[in-house]
Amino acid sequence: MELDDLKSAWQSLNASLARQNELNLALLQERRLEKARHLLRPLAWGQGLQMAAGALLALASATFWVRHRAVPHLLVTGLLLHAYGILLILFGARVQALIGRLDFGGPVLELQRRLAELRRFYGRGGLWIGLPWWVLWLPLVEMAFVGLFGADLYLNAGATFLPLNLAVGSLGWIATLVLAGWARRHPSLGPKFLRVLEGSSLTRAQRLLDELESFERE
Amino acid sequence: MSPAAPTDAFLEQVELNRGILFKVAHAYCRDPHDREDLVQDILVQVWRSFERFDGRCKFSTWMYRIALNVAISFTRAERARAAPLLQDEARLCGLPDLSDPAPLPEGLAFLQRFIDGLPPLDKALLLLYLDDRPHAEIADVLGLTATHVATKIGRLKQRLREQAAPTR
Repeated sequence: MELDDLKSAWQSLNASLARQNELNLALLQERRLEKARHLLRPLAWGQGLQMAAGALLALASATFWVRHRAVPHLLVTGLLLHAYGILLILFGARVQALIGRLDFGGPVLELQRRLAELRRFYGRGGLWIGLPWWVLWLPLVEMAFVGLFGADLYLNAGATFLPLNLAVGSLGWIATLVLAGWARRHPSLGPKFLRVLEGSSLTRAQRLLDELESFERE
Repeated sequence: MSPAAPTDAFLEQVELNRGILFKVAHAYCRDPHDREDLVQDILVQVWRSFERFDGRCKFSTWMYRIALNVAISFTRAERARAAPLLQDEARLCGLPDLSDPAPLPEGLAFLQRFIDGLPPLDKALLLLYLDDRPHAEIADVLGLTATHVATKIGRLKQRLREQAAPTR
């Protein structure tokens, strides 16, 4: 069976398919605008919300550390949260920039590679954004207590509160990173764990990049 | 271009090239509902990208790129499940039932199964080849060299021959 022998039959089949679907196009055109708005909304909102949250956190923490710059542990608390707020803004801006580079009218391999890079950045960025919360809740709670109630949690919660929670958080953070590294080195055992940790987007992105590489190499 | 005001030029070009929409959707989706979603997604993306179309390539080439890019992403998002197209649904939609090889000539049914079994990028390549696009245009759509396209088509032909051999 030769491919070229089937070509004309395939083209006739497709021509017939296009004829049969002629009327559907009018319906699709009516629904197009609504669909376009629907598709754009979640993406725009998600990124916008994240950057807004980052800006709010950076602003609040800057106000906090400026006001308490004479007290070292409060200064550090404010600076840590300020840095995290800026990280959120930068992450959102980078994702927006990567989305802006997507051109669906570009060559298929190029667009698919850019989509995979976006997914990979989003997946890895998720780790950078998420893992710090193993310890970052401590400065956030401290800032909230000082800001809302005028009470310094670190000074009032006992001598072991901060070092103990810092130690537990740091251990959790390190253990998660070690487990992620183990999961990457053991493809037969690790994928489920990685999917939980990084989200499926990173796994899919890596699979897509592997496929692209294999397609170009063959 | 304002989202609320699609131009006549856009509608005219889409109408002229609507066959591409259905060919690609048909190749990438078996389920009629997924196929309808895919056609809509492609249309949306063509419309959103229309202002970037600079006329450096033919509109059909550009539309093929968008259609294939959207279809590949759509398939990867696992929205398109490999559900068989039921005969009743096919009749209701006015589509030929391609999940059942009986209504198709033997060769075409075999080709359909062969296409269904291909990875998304190979599927794109074969689809363009079957549409009689020159190697240079296929290379332009996919982002390969024309020589690479010729090599890959040769391999696909060989695979088709090998798969056909035991059935004879």
